Amino acid sequence: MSDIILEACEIRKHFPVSRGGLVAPQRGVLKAVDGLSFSIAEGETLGLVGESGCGKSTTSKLILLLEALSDGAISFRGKDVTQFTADDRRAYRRAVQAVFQDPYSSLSPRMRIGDIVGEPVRVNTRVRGADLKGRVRKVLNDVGLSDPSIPANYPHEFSGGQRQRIAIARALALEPDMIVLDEPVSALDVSIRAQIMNLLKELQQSRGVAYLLIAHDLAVVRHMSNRIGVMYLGKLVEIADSDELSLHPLHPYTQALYSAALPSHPDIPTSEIILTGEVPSPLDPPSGCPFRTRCAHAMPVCAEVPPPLREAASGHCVACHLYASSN
Amino acid sequence: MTRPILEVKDLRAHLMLRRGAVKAVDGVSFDLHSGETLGIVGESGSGKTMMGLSLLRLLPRPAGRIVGGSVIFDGEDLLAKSEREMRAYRGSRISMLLQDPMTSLNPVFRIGNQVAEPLTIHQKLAGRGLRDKVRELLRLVRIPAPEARMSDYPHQMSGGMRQRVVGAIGLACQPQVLIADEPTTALDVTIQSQYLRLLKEIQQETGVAIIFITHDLGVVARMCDRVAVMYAGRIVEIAPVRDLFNNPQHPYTVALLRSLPKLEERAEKLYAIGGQPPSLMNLPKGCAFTARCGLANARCREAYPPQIDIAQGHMARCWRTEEKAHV
Amino acid sequence: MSQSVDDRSIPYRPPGRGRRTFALLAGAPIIPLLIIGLFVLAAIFANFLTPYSPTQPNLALRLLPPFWVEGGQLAHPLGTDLLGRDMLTRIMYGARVSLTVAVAVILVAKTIGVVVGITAGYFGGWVDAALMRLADATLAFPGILFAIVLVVALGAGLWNVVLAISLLDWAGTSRVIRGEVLSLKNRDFVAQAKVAGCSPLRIMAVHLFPNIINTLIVLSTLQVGSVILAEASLSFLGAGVPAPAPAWGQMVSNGKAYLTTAWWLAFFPGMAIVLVVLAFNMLGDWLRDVLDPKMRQV
Repeated sequence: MSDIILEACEIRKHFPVSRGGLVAPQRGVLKAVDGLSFSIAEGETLGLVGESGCGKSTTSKLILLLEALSDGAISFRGKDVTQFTADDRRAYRRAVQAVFQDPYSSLSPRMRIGDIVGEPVRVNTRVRGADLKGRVRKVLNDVGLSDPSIPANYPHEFSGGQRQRIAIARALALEPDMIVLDEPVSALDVSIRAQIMNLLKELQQSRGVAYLLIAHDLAVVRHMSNRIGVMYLGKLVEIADSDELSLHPLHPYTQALYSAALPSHPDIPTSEIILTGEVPSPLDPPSGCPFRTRCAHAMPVCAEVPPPLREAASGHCVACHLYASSN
Repeated sequence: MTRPILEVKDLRAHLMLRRGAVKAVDGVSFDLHSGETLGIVGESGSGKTMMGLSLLRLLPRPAGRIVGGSVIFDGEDLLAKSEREMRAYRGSRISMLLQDPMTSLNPVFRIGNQVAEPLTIHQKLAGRGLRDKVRELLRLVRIPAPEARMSDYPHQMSGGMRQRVVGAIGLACQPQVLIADEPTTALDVTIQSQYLRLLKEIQQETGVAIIFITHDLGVVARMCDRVAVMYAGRIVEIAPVRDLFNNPQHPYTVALLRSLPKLEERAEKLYAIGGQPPSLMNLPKGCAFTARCGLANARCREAYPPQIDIAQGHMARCWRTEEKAHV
Repeated sequence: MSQSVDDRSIPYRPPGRGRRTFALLAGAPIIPLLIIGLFVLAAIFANFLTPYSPTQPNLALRLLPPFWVEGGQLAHPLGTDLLGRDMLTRIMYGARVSLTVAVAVILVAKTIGVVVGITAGYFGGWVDAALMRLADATLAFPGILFAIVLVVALGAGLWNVVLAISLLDWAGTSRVIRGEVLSLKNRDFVAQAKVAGCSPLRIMAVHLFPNIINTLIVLSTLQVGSVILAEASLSFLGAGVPAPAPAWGQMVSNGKAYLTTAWWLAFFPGMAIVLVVLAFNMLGDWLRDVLDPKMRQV
């Protein structure tokens, strides 16, 4: 059993929001993330899926310490991040890196590739000069960009796929324990996606790095992840092994999500579960279970009690009253 | 066989840039019949969006220019029309849905006004008749409580709703042809699914022919009757949808289908097409796919392959396919 | 390695990078550059270019008209002023004052403006509010009036003029730079810098600043014109660089009373102001078109 690197426990992020005009302002709270718990072990890939407004991008910002927690705790190798000393923080930065969605805005247009990739190393270590150059060249080589003239060039001379490789190289430069991948391939062309996904998997095998993969494309997440968590309105509604979740989704939302996914062949029958209505606003989530307003199986208890995340089968947890009796 | 509502023959459109001419559309031919959905599949740089814009003669001026070919719509050559005559066609007989619902709608006008606009221009409706028609259109695209929603502004609606409003505007004057340019790319999985079903239903009701431009083969599998695959400004394969998925002929189509991660099964490694699409300014002499094709030979590099008929309605532009056909 | 290697494919230097730069320069506005170049040369090499002194009076030759008017001499092509000093010479030396003030003000005002703008834009919150209120207050002052008061209080002199104009100029710059930074700071590369552990200072200096240089260049070029006009206005009102050093505005002011009799006293310095300001504005327009990333991208 591998070590747990990162653990999130009932994390919440609430944004204060004022609606209305000058005359009658209303103070509200946007519950972007509302009680999320998960853990990531060494070398594994945890995928988080969900639609817009589910809170997955906020989650990635919380994990990267780009936003502060409203409640709950994140611990890194057993130590709570709110108890971090400056050294701990630096160690965390070395251990947890990120690759974002848009290859066109994640590289500073006015820095050379060599400087971009070397930046994390320069900021966190004393490695300089020829050592630094060597490290940069090596990591660029690892991502398939071995041409020696690359570090001297600027981002605009590269394609989207190449830029994403550069972003991955930058994330690897510090030899992190974990990389947060926030929609790493969705902005890329279809034929380039396979290249990047293969690369990410190879790197995981050779370096043992863990991934927190946040994406909306179910097939991509299925391909890359060991475990998958499904988010809805800031909560985790189901989490299980990748294969298990795709073949036996238990939560009604997960079932609807998978049934709505586009087929890979015209003859694959779509037994689509049609969800009524719209996603409720995170400013005003429904009481009890957030999904009950669109759920075909909603029961009276769903409006009163928010269902806890409970194990329904081995390693497979669901937050739904339909499975409450399986205890 | 009824006459096609749209016949495109050898359409060529270039973008004149300071650095040179970009051959965005380089000899595209296809037919479209009433009530059918033709998918145009391609990645960025394939020319699919430019092709869609060319049909309506909406290329960005002054750089964009149609340099050859013909577009016969219901017996009339659109390329021979004056700008004034084209304006009468746009929005009334041929309509277009664009990709981003955020920017397709004017943020300072109520959506009722925006849906009413094509009706005012082309059908000269006003007053009560106009209101009734707008309400009817909003109902057509399944927007609940249309009377109330008419006075909403775009920012008060969700992405899915906005895209439906865009659909209502596009369908207002009951066009014979609807060009949809990636209308669901920005939408969530479940919303996308609802929207596609809606389009299909509307098509069954009104008999509109749809050209669906997309990069997503899943959308094609769900929506389209026939598919054309574009690469580097040309159509490299065109077939009925099942034939394309069951028996793809062009190496690019084959590679594209193989490189998609499938939801139904998890592959260890995806098939990735190496390299990048060619620059549309420097197209090679022969087939544009040679640099990335596993089957390329000397003839492929020398000359661009002609249309090879494979079966009824199935065509591919590939020398190797021709050889296979003759074997 | 496998198919994930992606070495060949598109060239890292798009073909003809040198050719592209050349094409850019070939489209440069020649006339504005020539005008500016001429004035700069005149300012630097004034001592060598003219045998006359700009300040030494020569009453025997006072009020000579330009050489093409009856009574003029070729030796004094643009005529002489009230004290017999050669106009052309005074204009050349006047260029020194105007251009020095312009460069100095740009350096000082833009530096303050950039620092304030980046800081306000990056930090947001009360820092932003405080700095922007300061900028607003500065912008609300009636410009020239303020400059005059300052010069009168501090005393006349080149550097006080520079200070006065700079204190007015920085606010506009800071607002523009702040706007740039607001849109830049949401881009992923800034988030990446934070994830890498960069300090705010490093992010502002290494990541944000290089991306606003283009805007800065354009702003500076476009504002040189108004700086020169500001200096000219000050010296016109007598609050500029003190006599006997020639300054264009002051020359116009002195020539004001003689417009009907000795029109060249005010005309030529006035033309000099117009030409230089116009040239800088045209240069600024061209730079903005050239440096606009949206145009460059295609």
